[in-house]
Amino acid sequence: MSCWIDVKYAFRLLLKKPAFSATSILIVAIGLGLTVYTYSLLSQLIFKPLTMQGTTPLIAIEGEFRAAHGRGQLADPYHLSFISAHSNLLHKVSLYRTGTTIISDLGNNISAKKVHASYNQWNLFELAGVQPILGRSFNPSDQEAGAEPVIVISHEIWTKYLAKDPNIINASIRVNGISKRVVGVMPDGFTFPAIAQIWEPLSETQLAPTAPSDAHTDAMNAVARLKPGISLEQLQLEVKNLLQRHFQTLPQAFAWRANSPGGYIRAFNYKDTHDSVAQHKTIFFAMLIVVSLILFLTCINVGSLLLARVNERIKEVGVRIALGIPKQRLILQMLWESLFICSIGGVLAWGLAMISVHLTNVAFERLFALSGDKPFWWHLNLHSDAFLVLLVAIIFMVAVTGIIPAVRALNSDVNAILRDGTRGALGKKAGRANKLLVVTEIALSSVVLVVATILLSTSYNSQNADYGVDTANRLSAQILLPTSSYPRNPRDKRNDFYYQLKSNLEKHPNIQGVAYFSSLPGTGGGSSHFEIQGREALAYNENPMWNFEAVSRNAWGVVGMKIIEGRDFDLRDLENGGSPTIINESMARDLFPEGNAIGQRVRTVDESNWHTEWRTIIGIVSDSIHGPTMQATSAWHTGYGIMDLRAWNMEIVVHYRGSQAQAQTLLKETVAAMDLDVTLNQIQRYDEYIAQPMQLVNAVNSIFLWCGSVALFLAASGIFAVSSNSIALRSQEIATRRALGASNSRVTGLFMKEAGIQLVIGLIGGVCMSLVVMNQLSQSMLISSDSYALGILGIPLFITLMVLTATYIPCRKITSQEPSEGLR
Amino acid sequence: MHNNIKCLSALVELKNLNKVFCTDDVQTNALSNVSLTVYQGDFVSITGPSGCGKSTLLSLLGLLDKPTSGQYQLAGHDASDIDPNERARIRNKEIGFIFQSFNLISDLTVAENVELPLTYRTDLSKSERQELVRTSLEKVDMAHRASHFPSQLSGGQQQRVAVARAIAGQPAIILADEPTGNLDSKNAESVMHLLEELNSEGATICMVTHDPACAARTQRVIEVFDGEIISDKYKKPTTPIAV
Repeated sequence: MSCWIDVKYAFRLLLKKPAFSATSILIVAIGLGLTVYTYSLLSQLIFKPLTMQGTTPLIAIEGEFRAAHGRGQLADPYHLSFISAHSNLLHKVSLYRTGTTIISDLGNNISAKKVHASYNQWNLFELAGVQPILGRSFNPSDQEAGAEPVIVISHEIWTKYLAKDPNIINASIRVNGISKRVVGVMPDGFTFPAIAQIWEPLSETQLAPTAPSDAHTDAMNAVARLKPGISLEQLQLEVKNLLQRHFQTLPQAFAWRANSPGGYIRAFNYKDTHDSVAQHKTIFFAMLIVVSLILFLTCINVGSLLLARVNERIKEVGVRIALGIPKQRLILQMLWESLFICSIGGVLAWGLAMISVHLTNVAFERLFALSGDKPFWWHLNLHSDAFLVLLVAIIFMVAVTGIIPAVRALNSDVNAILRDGTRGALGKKAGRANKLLVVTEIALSSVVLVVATILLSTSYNSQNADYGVDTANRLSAQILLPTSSYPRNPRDKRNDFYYQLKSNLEKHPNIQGVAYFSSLPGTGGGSSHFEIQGREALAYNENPMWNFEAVSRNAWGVVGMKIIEGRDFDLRDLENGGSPTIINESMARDLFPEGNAIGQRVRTVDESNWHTEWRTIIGIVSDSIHGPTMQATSAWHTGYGIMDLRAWNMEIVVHYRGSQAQAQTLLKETVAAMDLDVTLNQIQRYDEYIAQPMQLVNAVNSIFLWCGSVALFLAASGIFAVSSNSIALRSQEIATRRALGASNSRVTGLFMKEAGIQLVIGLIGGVCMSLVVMNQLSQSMLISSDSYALGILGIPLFITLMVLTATYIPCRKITSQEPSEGLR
Repeated sequence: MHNNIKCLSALVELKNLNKVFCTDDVQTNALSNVSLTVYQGDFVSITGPSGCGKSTLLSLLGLLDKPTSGQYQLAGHDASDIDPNERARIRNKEIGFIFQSFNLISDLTVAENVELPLTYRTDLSKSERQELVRTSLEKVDMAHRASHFPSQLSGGQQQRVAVARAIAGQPAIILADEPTGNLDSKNAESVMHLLEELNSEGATICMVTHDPACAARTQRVIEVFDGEIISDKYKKPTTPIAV
C-alpha cells in the first residue's frame, strides 16, 4: 500500500512536468530502439551462427591459401573429403561449388535465363534440414557414375518461369544446353548454400578424388554441421591436425600446401562465407561499439536529467529523510520515476525498432535487386532474443538512471538541506559528478561522431573518386556464353562471338564504341603476386602484386583511357605466339622508375610454384583503379592481357549516343538476334556498376549517419542539460561573486574556462578512443587522409563550439538576472 | 570611541524608492516610497517582521537589484539606472557584503575567499592584494586559518572570514544581511563586536536583523513594515550635520 503511494507520486511528478517527461522518454526510446535494432541487425546478419533447420551451427570449410581474393576460395576436394571422412566433431559434411548456368526450354515462350546454380553432394538438403515441397531431394544414387542427370529447382524458378506447373516433377529442362530431369522443387526462400536457383548433384569421382589436384575446375567448398557442444575453435584445431597428417602423404608437387602462409584450408562460421559480411565485419563491429556508446550516452543523459530533477527536489528528499524514510524505500522511490520513463520509452523503442527493421528489409531488397546475390539469411525480424535484449537494456537503464539520483539523495547533508535548502549550493561531490558527466558525454559523443564522420567521408570519397575512366553515356553488362555452344577450349567461338557482337553494335549510328574487359576498370579488385624477369624474389610472396585483366582490342578509348607509351594490342599479337601485356601508368612509374618498362617481361606466380607464361610489356596505359578506393583489396597496379588469347567471361561496355533506354534495347536485341542462349546480365549504367559494391557500405553508413545524428542530439541535449544543471546549482556562488563585484563577462569567462578544461579532457579521451577504433577499421579498409583530418580535427572543433554554446547559454541566462535573485 | 556628535556627509540617499515584484498575475509591492539617507560613519540596523522588505531594501542599497522607480544616490553618484558593468564596479569598490549564510566559495581557501573581490580590480598588484588580505584577516583574527577551506571552519569563523572579505577592499559601506542569523550567541556576540569595532574605526554599516539585541547595539534603528519605513530612530542624540 505504501509503495502504491510512491508509484502514484512518481506518476504525478511525471505528469507535472510534461516537457521533462517527454524529453526523457524520447531519449530513452531512441537509445533503446537503436540498441534493439542494431542487435537484431548484427546478430541476424553476422554474429548469430547459422543453424537453419538444425540446432547446431553450420560451418564453412574452404581454401585459405588465396585469402587475399576474398571468401569462397575453392579447395582441393581430395582434402575436403578426407576431413569429411575423418572428423569426429562434425555431424554432417556436404561438398559443393557454385556457379552460373543457363536454363532454357522453359516453355511459355520464355527465353533462356541465366541462373545461379549449386553443384553439390547429395546430402546438402539433409544437412540443411530442408526438404523439397514437391518431388524428392537427391539420393546417393544420383551421384553415381552414369546416373541420369537430374536437378532440383527453386520455388522462384518454379513460380517465375514455370507458372507453378504442378506436373513439373519428371519434366525436362535444358541446363547449359543439356536436358535434365526435374526431381524436386524447394520451398520458397530456400537458396542454400548461397543464392542457388537450381541444384545439381556432383559425381562420386568429383567428390572423392583418389589423388590431389591443382585444377581449378576440380576445386570445391564444403559446408558442415557441428556436433552438439562442439565449438568452432575445437573444429579448427581438429582440421589443422587432420590436414597436418594428410599433407605428409602428398606428392612433392603439392608439398607447398603444408607450408602455405596462413594455412591451406580454413573453417569458419557459415555467415562469413559472404564477402559483404567478411569485408565489412570491422565496420559492423564499429557499429556495435558506436551503438553501445549511444546506449551509454542515453543512460548518462537520462541519469543527468533525473539528477537535475532530484537537485530540484532535494529539500523534499531532506524532509523524507528527516521523517525517517528507510534507505531502501528512498532508493525505490527514486527508481519508480526512471522505471516509468524507461518502460514507456522501451515500448516506443520496440515500435521504432520494428519500423527500422522493415525499412532495412526494403533497403536490402532494393540493394540486391539487380545482382540478386543477397545472402538468404539477410531478412531481419524482431525475435524473442531481441525482446530479451530490450528487457535487459531497460533494467540496466533503470538501474543506472535511477541509482545516480538515488545516490545523490542518499549522500545529501540533511541538516544543511533543511537549514537553507541548499539554494544553488553545489556540493563538492555533486560538482565532481557533474564534471564527470560532462567529460564522459564529450568523450563518448566525440568517438561516435569521429568514427561516423570518417566512415561517411571515406565512403563519399570512394564514390566520387577518379577511377580513371569516363562513365558518361556508357552501359555495362555481363555476357554469359553457354559452354555447351561456346566451349572454353578451343576458345575461338567465344572470341568470335564477342568481336561479332562488337562489330554489329558499332554499325549502329548511336553506338560510338564497344569494348570488353574481364573486369571493368572501377570494378573487381584483388591482387596476385608477379615476378619481373631478372628481378625474381626468392620467395613468391616477396614479389610485387598486381591485378591482371583481359581486354579486347581497341578498348581504351571506349572507357576514356589512353595509351601513354608503347602500343595497343592488335592482330600481330595473335600471330606471333607471344603473350603481350599492357601495364598501367602507376605500375610503370613505381616498378620501372627508370622508364624502361616497355620490353620487360613479367609473369603471375603463386605459392604452388604455379606461374603463367612470361608476358612482354608492349605498352603503358593511363591509370585506372579496380575496386572501390576504400577497399583494401582494390588494385592500383594493373596489367592487361589481350582477351583473344584466353577463354574468359567478359563484361561489355557500350559507349552510346542518345538515350540509355534505346542503347539498352539495342544491346539486348543485337545479342538475341545473334544467339538466344546467350544471356546478358546486370545491364546498368557504368557509373552505377562502379558504385554497386559501395551500396552496402552506403547503407551501413546511413545507419552510422543516424547513429551520429542521434549521438549529436544526445550529446547536445545532454551537455546542455548537465551544464545548465551545474550552473543552476552554483547560482548562489555566481550571485556571491557578482555581489563582490565580478562583472557578468568575468562570471561567464569563469564557466567557459571550466568548460574548456572539461572539453580538453573529454576530447583527448574521445579522440584517443576514436583512433583505436579507426585503427581496427583501417585494417580492412583504406581511409583517406582528408577523412582522418575531417574526423580528428573537424569533429573536436564542432564539439568545442557545441560545449561552449551549451555553457554560454545558461551562463547568459543566469547573469541576466539580478544577483539578489540568486542570493534570495 | 563612539562619537555623539559627528560631521557627517550623506553616503546613501534614497528618494521615493519603489520595488514591485510581479509573479504570474500577482503584483507585490516589496517597497513603497522609501526615502532614506545614510551618513558616513553610521551604524544602521534595519528591522521588521519577515517579508516586510528589509532584505529587498538591502539588495537595492547594495545594487544587487534595480528599483522599479525612485532615485538612489551612492557617494554623490546617481545609482538608480546604471549598466550592469558599472554596478559591478561600484559593488566591488564601494560596497562590502556580509551574508547570513556566509556565502564563502567552498573550493577556495580562506585567503583566496578574502582576495576574491580584490581580484576583480585592475588597480591592485598581487603584493598589494596579499597585503590587504593579511591585514583584513588579522583584523578579524583569522590570519592563522588563511590556508584552510571554509568546510574546515566553524560557523562563527566562517562569518569572520566573510567580514574580512567585506572589508578587504576598504569599501565606503558595509551591508550585512542577518550576519548573526546562523550563529550561536557566543559567535553572534563576537561578530557584533567586530562590526562595532569597524564602525568605531569609521566604517559605515547597514545591517538587516531580526534580533532586537543586535539592533539595540547600533546607533540608528530603522523599522520597516509592509514595505514602508515606519520608524527611523537614533538611539543617542546625534545631530547629523550635512556637509
